[in-house]
Amino acid sequence: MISVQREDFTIEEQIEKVKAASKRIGGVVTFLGTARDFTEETGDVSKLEFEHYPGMAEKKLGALRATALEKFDIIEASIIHRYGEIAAGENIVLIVVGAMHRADAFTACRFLIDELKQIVPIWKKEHTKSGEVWVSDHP
Amino acid sequence: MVSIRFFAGFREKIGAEKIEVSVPDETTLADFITRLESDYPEISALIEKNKATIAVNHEIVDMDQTISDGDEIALFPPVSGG
Repeated sequence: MISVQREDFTIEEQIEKVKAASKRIGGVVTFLGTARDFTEETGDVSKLEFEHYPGMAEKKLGALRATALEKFDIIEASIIHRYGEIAAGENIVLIVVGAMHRADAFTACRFLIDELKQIVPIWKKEHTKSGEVWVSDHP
Repeated sequence: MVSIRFFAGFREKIGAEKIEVSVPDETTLADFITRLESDYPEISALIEKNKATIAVNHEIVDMDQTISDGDEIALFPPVSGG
């Protein structure tokens, strides 16, 4: 239910995996992060590049998932994040949460993407006309 | 020996993914980083200019934690996944 991978993923397949956890699931919420071709800071972006810390990234994602399962009234959660070069328009990250009721699924899904952005060791580089910039280098 | 890994902008600025250094017994992470900064001024500059995160064996730990032979330390800039 946790993966940091180079290859693209299929949303349908991940939803089915989460649904397979239990027939008590009555609501599934997904968050899909995709690569924008423009940012306010750097302008046009031709592609993104993601680097991760193998081992620690998976460990942190696993801990996040465990926290969400404990903290919210949800049944299953899956998180996939890609690394390597990702062209504008392609998928970056997918979070799928299944719960008995939608409110908990929405809350947990938002928690997972917000926390992922804060603590999981993955870094984004933007390729623009004027060069390459690591997003964490922004002032 | 202790290995130190660098990621993202830090890896590019240092010009290496990993360096290995020896560490005396009973060295705290704080002492280790101080020694590292005096041996490698470029690392000192990175830590000063950025909000560097320091992980030991894949965990963020207190600076008074003791470092042992075989540990993997990682230095990286603020994360930006998602």
